[in-house]
Amino acid sequence: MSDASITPTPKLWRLTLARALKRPTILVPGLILLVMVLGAVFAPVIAPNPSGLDAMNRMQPPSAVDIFGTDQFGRSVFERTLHGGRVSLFVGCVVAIFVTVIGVSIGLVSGFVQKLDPYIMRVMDAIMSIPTILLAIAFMAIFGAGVTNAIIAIILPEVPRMARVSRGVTLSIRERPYIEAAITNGARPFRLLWRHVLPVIVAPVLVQATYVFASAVLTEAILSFLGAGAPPEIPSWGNIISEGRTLFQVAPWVIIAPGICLSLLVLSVNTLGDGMRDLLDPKLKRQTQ
Amino acid sequence: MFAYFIKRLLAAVPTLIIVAFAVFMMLELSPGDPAELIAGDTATPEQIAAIRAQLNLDQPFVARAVAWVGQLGTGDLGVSLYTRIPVSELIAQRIEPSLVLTVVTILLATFIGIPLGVLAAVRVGSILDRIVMFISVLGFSVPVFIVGYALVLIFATNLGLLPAQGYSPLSDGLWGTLRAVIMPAFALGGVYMAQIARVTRAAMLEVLSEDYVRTARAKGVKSTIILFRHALPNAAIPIVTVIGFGVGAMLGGVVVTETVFNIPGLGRLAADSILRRDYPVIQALTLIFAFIYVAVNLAVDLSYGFFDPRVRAWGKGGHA
Repeated sequence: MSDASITPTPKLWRLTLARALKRPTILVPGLILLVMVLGAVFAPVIAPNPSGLDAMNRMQPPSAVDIFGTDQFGRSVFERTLHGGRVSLFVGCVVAIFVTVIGVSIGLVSGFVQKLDPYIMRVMDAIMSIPTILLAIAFMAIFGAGVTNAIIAIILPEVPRMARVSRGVTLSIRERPYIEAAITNGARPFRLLWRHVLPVIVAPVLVQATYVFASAVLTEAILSFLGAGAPPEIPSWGNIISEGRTLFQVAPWVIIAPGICLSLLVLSVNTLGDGMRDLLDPKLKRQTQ
Repeated sequence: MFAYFIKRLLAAVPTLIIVAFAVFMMLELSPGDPAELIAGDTATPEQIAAIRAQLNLDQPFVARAVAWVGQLGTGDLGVSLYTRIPVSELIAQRIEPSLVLTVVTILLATFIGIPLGVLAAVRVGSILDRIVMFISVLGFSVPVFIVGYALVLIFATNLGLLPAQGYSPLSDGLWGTLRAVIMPAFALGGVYMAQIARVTRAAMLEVLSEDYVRTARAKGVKSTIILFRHALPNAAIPIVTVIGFGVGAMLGGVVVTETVFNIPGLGRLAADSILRRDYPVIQALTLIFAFIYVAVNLAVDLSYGFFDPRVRAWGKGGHA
């Protein structure tokens, strides 16, 4: 990507960004995400005491003091929810990055090395035939709970989908004349993939990465909800809801705030992905030009 | 058609073998000695040695893998470490609620999702279309447990219409079972319904722009007949495909749904087994769920032949 001849010039980037911000499906979820990221980054400043017990103020409904109310230990749901966002965003980012790198590598190899393709894809199909949550659960049961293990457990089932997307695009451009020309000119395999194939698959991969992000946030919340994700001392949206669930018919506010944040984050990221797909899809772009 | 059937069946075999191998590998890759892991913290060295012999840990890796798959072939899924009951027996005890829940969910998602998608396609761009599409995006984004608790809060806590938790076996009457399962099925089926509605809408939009639909309209065929006799069967292949793929996510969701609603099924068993680190149960459940997924998708592949005569004639499926 560092090569000036293949990356879009800065002007084109600015143009694309300007066009992106005109779309409500990118602008609105983008703003929501920005607020959430800021909240997560400054959580230690805004909410310094998410684990502070207060026996006098247990299960208080939302009020001016605690805008999201307090839980059964008197902890502020607002502070805990803010900190929970850190776990979700962190897991989402790390998973999206790793899945992209691993999945795209597998997809490129599979798309270009015809001899390996059927074997690689068979293995990917097999992994995809195990339900995501179950594969993650099996992993957590064996390796133990924790954020790091949760991240690995979520990466595992997401990789095949990314591999499929990048393989599909690779296959579709493999027979193009410019690829043949590069091969005829003696481009080495690595250079070929890096300079001629990778730039083309950036757009669909980026879109898929946002879906991976959304899915990772959901799966992490589910793992934490089942007690297999973040440990109790680290508040995450999943374990806040899990702790609040026994009392939710009496004190529903404990699970409402993290529930809404979780849904809003996933909804925003999914919408952003759709918006980016519409923006970056070359076919749609050609139609509008 | 028969050749097609055999071909699809054979294609599923390597997938299942790889799944079985992957499940086997998981325990193999776990940190530490699997025998000690399985024996637990309180085990004596003799017990560990016994387990090691039982697992053939003294044998070479490949021999162990083959032995494990062979064991599966005879229906032996091992013994639960926590309850000391054979896993196959545990599963037999717990299978009914999960089976009822998944069947009701698939039926609900299909019979609500498809009509919603058709409606959205017919009135494309209308408010109805937008509402359906918005609900379907919501369905993708709101986690099962949030929908579950929201439903409980509305229909059980506030309105008192349905039981908040638990399951009522079929032997105690179908009505009680349905009352217990309807909320979990809606919570679990939300995403699924959303996917089906989206794909139905897209497939119908494509089919409705075909020449034969215009011809039928020009002939004065009733619009309901055009929709359900001419268009829907031709839009069927992507719809049944998404029904098949969706089963995977739905099966995973069973774990969460049964935890939220306190249903004593296979999903609850899986959730409980994580914290107990009951590997044989987790391994068996992973295998069973993967097996169901592969079987459903095999059925979907076969249904292509039913919906599309060309598949029958060519003897190969529309997708790899």
